[in-house]
Amino acid sequence: MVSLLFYLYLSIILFLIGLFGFVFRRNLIILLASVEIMMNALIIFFASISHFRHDATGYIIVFFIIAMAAAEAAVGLSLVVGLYKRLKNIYTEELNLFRG
Amino acid sequence: MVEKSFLVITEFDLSVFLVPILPFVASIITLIFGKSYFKDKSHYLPVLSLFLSFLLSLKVLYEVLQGKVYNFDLYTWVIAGSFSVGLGFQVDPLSAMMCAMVTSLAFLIHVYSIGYMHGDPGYYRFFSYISLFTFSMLMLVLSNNLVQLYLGWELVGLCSYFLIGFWYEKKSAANAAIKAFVVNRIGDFGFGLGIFMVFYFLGTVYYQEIFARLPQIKEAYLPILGYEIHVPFLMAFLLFCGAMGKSAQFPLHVWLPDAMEGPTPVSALIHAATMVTAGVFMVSRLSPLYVMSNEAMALVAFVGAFTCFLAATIAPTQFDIKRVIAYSTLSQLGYMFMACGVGAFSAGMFHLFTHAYFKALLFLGAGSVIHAMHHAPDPNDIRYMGGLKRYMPITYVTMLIASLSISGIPGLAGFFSKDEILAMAFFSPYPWGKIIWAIGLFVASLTAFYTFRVFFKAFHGEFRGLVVLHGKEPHESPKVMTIPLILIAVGAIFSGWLGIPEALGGGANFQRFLEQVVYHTEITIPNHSLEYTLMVLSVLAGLIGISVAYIIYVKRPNLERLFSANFRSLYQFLYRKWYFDEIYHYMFVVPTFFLARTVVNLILDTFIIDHTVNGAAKTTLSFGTLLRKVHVGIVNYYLISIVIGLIIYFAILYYLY
Amino acid sequence: MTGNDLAFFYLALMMILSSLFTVVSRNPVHAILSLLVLVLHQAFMLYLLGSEFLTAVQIIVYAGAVVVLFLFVVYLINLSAEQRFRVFVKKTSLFMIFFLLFVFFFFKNFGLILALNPQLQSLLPIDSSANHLKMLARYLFMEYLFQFELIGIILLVVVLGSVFLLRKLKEEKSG
Repeated sequence: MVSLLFYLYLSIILFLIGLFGFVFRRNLIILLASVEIMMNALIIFFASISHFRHDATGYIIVFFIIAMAAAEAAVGLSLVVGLYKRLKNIYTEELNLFRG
Repeated sequence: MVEKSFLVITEFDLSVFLVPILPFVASIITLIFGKSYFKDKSHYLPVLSLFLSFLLSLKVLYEVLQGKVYNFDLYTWVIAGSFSVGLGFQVDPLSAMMCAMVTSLAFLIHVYSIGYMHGDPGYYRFFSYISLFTFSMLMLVLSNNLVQLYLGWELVGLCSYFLIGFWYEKKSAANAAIKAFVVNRIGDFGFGLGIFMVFYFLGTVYYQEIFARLPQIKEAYLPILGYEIHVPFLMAFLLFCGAMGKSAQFPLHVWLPDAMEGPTPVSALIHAATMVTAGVFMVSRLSPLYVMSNEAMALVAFVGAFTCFLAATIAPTQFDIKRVIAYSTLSQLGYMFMACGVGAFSAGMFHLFTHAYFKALLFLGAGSVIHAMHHAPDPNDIRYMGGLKRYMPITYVTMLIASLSISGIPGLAGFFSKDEILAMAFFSPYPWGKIIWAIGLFVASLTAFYTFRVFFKAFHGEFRGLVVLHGKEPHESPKVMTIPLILIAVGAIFSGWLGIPEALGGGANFQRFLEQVVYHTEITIPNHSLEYTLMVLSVLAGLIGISVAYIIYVKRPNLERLFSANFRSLYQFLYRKWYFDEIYHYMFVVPTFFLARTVVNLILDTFIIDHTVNGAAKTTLSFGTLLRKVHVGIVNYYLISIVIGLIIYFAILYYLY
Repeated sequence: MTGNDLAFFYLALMMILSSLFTVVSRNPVHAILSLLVLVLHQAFMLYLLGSEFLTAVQIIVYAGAVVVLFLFVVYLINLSAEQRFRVFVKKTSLFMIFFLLFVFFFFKNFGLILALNPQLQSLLPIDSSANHLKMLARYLFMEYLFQFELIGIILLVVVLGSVFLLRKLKEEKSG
């Protein structure tokens, strides 16, 4: 029988995978994709809580998360494209203009 | 003349409010968007707003003529105990007249600047500043209390600083701007003290309340260093300090000639027509205070007379066309103060009004000449000019009108107002009236002399600038410059007709209009024949000056060097401007630098401040080097540091439970 | 084991696998495609969680817009270079230590939360999808109307912002 815990664990695992990619990868596009994975984990988290507690607030939050994810992806990707246009590079380790 | 009773309006009135606000809005918008958006179209907004505000000020003037007076507060600005200041407007004959004068001239000079400043890299900056100046001047004129007057006073000083130093890459311009600013601060310090004193003794800063409470201090004395000083005198003196700074009266006159480093439209608007007359305006505004103390009146009269004389003696020795006109401004301002000092405030204001037009015209004409000569190494130098009559007919005619007007030739504006001042001084009940009259008469002939010296040297004879202009001939300025010249010339002819004295069949309407609000000493004129004699004398003085200039500079050019060769030391003394710059340099600048370099720099700076500051810097630096190692510039390292932070947070959470 | 449970396990497995593949894949195109797989499975997961409306939104917005946007960018940028270099950052071991430490404390805390709220395990879903859409609409347009409008503004800002970010700079125009 699938209970709430299953969903929560799934959400946690997805989140950790996303975080792994976010911290370890050096390609900025994959970094953004990892953020999307983490967003998906959050969606599952809120939707499942809402489902099991019969409260629509979670669904509303999911709705907002999806909107925010779209916005975030648009801005992030335009930053990546801008970076690529100016520096011809999207690898984090080589973009160290801020080195102190 | 029967005192007309006014209908006082105390509610907010939009047209009065818009008169100063429109230039302000235009200025701000131009300043923000000028550089990247308006560029060489920067003049549209300021010129349009000035035109509207000119129309509005005419409407307001019309309403004042109909017997309406405005006096309202927009909102209360400062409240501290019993001290309360509003941002308010007072429109009465005096301020309505000033307002119309300022907006009309400002509008025409804006139009003129379109041609004059064309192609300057700071085009938008110029229009923004000059609009801001107009706003400040209108705030000064329209205020209904001393603190707002002070605000406008400082703002015009600031704009003057900006505009004198407009070509800041020129060292002399930057220095002149600083000089003007610092000298003005000295006067404004006194002015500030004067306002404090007014508040201390009268408990208010609103004009109407001040005038109502003035009898309280009629017999008040203040002991200072063992002397009992009459309070109205001290008050008037301190306030007059501000006027001395702003209107460039002796001993604070040194900044005005140097201010000619600014663009010529600025000289015309700020340093001839409007800002420098603020001192006269203020003295007239507070005339009930000044007439309470004979000493204060004498001070005003003699400072004015001395400056008048001083400037008129320096002017004939100068070669910079704008400087000569600047000294003439000093001298004319002296006339205005002379008028105030003999109790004829409205005559002073009348001269202010006419002077604004003919002096602005002189400056703009000079600007037109400079515009034509701008390829010369020093376009201001009259020694390179000559014979320009042929090349620039419009400028020639307008300059001629202005020069005749300032020389007091009958029928032109300057004649009526100057003659009014001289007559008032002669018949004044104050004992120093006759002396003032004599000085005024003498200076009148000097004025005519040096004005026509410039005029003849620039427009008659042979053109001497062909070599420096590399054979190119000067040409008339574009229409956008000559049309304002013509319009102002109309003002320079007819503005005097508003106040034709009774002896010539007029009603002195201008003076009667102002005397409704400005204090006026009863000056009785015993008979008209004496007045006619005075008039003939002053016209003769002007004619003598003109003819001497004509003989020296047109008929017998070899006489030119006679004076400078035979009276070498006196000539040097005048040429060096009575050595005032040198005296101030050794009295104030050198000791200040000495103090700064030895005491402050060596002892205070090196031993106390440097060690403290360097110690702080070193500490920061060592921390910085430590933290620098963390700052690698790679995103992933920052991300892992977020993770580390989360670890710490979770660890704390976990071990807390 | 009901059909729903089976579906859950299948979806969960696929989601974990596809997300892992996204994170480790060397070729960005493959990574983004597996992200698409993840998103589609996730949409059906939302259906299991009782919200067919969110399923539709997920498919339209995520699969239809966001992932496609990612693909566009990947095609726009020539990334063949990465195939010759390493995928992960340098000093992976150092990063790994911190990451595992994080995972450890994360689960510790999760366990703590579960211990403090034992009712979490016993909650059971109730089929309430009959009025689902109506209820969602009521929430969205009445209780959360302000936030809803705010999201609209944020999206507008994003549109303007991305255009602004990618404008030509002055030096690029001249040079």
